[in-house]
Amino acid sequence: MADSEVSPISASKAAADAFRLGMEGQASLNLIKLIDFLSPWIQEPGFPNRKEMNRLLGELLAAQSRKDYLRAADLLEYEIARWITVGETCSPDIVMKDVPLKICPPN
Amino acid sequence: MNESLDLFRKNTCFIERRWPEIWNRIKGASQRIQAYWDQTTPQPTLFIDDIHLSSGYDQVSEAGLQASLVPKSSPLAWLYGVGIGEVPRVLLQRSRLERLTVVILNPSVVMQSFRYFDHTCWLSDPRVDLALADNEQDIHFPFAAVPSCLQLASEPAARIRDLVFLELATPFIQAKHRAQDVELLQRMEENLNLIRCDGDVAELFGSWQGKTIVVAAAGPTLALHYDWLLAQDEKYCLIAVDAALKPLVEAGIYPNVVVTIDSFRDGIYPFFSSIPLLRFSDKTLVYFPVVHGDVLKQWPGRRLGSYSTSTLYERVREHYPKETLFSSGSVLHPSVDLAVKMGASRVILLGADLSFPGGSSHVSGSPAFCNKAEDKSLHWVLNGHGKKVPTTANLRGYLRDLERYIAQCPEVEFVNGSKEGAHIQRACYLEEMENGRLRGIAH
Repeated sequence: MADSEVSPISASKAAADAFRLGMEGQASLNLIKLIDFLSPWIQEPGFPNRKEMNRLLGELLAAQSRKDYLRAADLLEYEIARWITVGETCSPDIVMKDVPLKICPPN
Repeated sequence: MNESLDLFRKNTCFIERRWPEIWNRIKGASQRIQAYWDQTTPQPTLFIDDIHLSSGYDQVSEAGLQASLVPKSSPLAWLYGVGIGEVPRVLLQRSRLERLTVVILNPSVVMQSFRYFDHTCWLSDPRVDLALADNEQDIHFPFAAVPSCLQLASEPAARIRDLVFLELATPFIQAKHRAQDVELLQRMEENLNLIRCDGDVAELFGSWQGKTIVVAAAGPTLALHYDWLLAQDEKYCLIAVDAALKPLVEAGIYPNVVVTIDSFRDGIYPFFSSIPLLRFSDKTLVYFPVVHGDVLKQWPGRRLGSYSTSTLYERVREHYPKETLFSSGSVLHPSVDLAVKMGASRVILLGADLSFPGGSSHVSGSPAFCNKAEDKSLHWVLNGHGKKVPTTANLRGYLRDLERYIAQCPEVEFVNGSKEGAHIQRACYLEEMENGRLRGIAH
């Protein structure tokens, strides 16, 4: 995997961490990149449980919209991540590009 | 664990004993909030006004992450938001920590949390001090924050909430700017001839000593002041931000100085198109060198360059020294700093709403205008009436940076044109100024 590439599960965790830290801008950017990546991937024929993933993504966007960031983080880290992991076992070489993972502390 | 009166008493008796003044302030917390115990996840948590107070899966791990914002070696720490009490508990496990100040952002939320979670571990720790955000003027470092509590902050805690969010966002904003640096350096390269030939903003400094300067920003309430502006009969120097230019001209008002700083050509160009620019041949444009040449070259009057403190300008400043204006994301910042450096003893801010009064992003007629009435994902600040008015995270940050700037100018009187937009700390209101004048007590 190249430096600019990450696994979808790492990207999901990075977005979750940014939400838990209250870093709204960073979290939103990570989330947009993740959803842009996931949307076509989960439409692929081999992706497991597409319906559940679509439901979770809907719930994630609703949580983000009402600024319930810790719920958004939970969905990313524990629920969506579960299906991404299953998806990754079906497509082990899948990677995301140009995901801003690094979180810098403000202090 | 379900709601427990015993637990509530156990928690609150520590506050009553150790911080009686705070207890007196919070015990009657009366903000109406809707809270319920969400047991749908492995670790139940409180769900308050549509916000989960903590993780429902791993509360200790979440608290560890949030606490990690405070360096492990630090003897001091501030925590903004109590949450479920897990973050203070995690921080206090550090033997090097000598003092932890926990800042309450919403007493009603804390009182709910006391009913469901055991907080006695941190409340009883002698290293802990407790504070109310309402009493705080600024934030302290190093800090950790509980984001759910920031979202649920009470109205008096809004300013501290915004300052915490602003600090949390700063590394991301800086990284985003650094990513644009290559393009901006290229833009400055293209503008070198202009930068070399144009004057220095310092030519304006001190030129309006001891007088009033009006700064016209592009918020919706600018339109309320057209008649007032016309009635002043050019008595005051008028500085306009670029987005306010077109609506001002349509109202028959021609500012003395226009300020433009943004590098995004397609966003800025419409501000200067379809207006009789020739009427500005005796007016001044103040700009940062990253503004697109297409915008700069069409200005018929005097152009004066300026820099911000960004390291982006270091090299070009060496070759073409010019003065600096305060900049923190909004064109309003350098416009206000310019007014101060021109020598104003009073700066009147019109349309500096930093929010969306009436559901609009900008004053009607501005090319940047858009309707925000249906946008449900907005944040809020308090307006001059003490009511919540919708805004964005960016505008909220600009407001707090403006307030910090104003706090550094005690010799200047700041006047806010309207109570409909965001309340700006240390700015009085135009109607108060006008009333004072009528009573013969104004300047």
